[in-house]
Amino acid sequence: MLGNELKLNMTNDQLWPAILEVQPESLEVYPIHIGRSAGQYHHHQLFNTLIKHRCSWEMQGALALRSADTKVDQLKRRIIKCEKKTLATWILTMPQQQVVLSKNDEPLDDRPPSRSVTLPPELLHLVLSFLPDTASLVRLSRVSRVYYITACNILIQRLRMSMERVKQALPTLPDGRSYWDEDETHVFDMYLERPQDIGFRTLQHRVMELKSLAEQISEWTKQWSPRRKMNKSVSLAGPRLSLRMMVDPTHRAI
Amino acid sequence: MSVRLLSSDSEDFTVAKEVAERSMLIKNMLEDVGDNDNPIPLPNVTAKILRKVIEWCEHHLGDPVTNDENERRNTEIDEWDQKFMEVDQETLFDIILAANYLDIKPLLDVGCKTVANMIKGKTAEEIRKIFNIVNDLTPEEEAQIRKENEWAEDR
Repeated sequence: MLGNELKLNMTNDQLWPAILEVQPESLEVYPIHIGRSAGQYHHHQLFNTLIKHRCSWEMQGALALRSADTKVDQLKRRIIKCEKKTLATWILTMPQQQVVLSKNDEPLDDRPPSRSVTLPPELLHLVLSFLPDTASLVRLSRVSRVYYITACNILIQRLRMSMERVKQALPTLPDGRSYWDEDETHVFDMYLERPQDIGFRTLQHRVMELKSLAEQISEWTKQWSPRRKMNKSVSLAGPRLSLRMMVDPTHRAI
Repeated sequence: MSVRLLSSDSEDFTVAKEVAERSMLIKNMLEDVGDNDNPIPLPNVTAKILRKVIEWCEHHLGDPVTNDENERRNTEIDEWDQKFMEVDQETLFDIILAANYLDIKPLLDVGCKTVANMIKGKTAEEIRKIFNIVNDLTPEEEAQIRKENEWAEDR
């Protein structure tokens, strides 16, 4: 039935021998190899495809980590600015008529007359961390200074958690260091056994999660210095990262 | 076996040991001091709040403990807890503070999720009003943040 669906019929009751990749969500089908010859099932092509996917996602993971690291630094700097009450920067350079300044809220008549109950910052952090999306956090950063700082801290925490999950799925250098923050080119033996190997689909999922989170945060951070948008020569990508795959020739005969 | 708890306003509560041990603070204290009849003083919790906390612990006595962070974060508040948390804001915040002090993580989560639900979909002005928060940003800072956050407002 599966063979029929994949249109692999050779005759009514025979299927072509084939190795196909079916995308989990879209169900798109990509051929890895169709057919066989005597004693040859072409499974090395499957092996090479898997290695190629793995390398591609490892590279994307390394780049996503760099990008996320930049976001963490930006958010940290913002927290410092907020604490120092120096958040207003570029707006002071805008013509007065373009800036609408609101007066700080006057006490409202219908406020509860009871004592003001506030949560300590660590509990506010816990409360706000239950807000699932980045836009909600950003929206409430305007409430007060402590809300702004807490929103930034939660985004940093989310980035770090996501980065950690990606790092766990990436290879490390022989001395245990991560390679993603190194400038030089590294050579890995892809066949080296790693006890905590994580499949490339899981790696792909984790990398996509991290990229998505970093992109959402970018929506916010790119608003922080609008004047910089004019300068197209500024690159935020960081130093070029290059990886080379080393394939052990003795494994090619599999 | 029962345990005596003494609230900050000197009200004495006698509760089953397993109920009291939903609080990690009390559990650790009981392990340190062993069995004795002296009440455990809880100087940060009033009788009104301690009564609520005990009610919650009794209802959730058999609940399994989850260490899965995702499950903790994504579980919706159940119906009983929603009703339990239908209290005035001051009491809600006091329950959260008590849960934090007594180290009852599931109750702390329920309290914080309740507050988070109150915040969801509200504007900054509405949040300030609901929680009586003083806006301590300068007008220039607020104007800049408003501009920077415009993209998030319609999401």
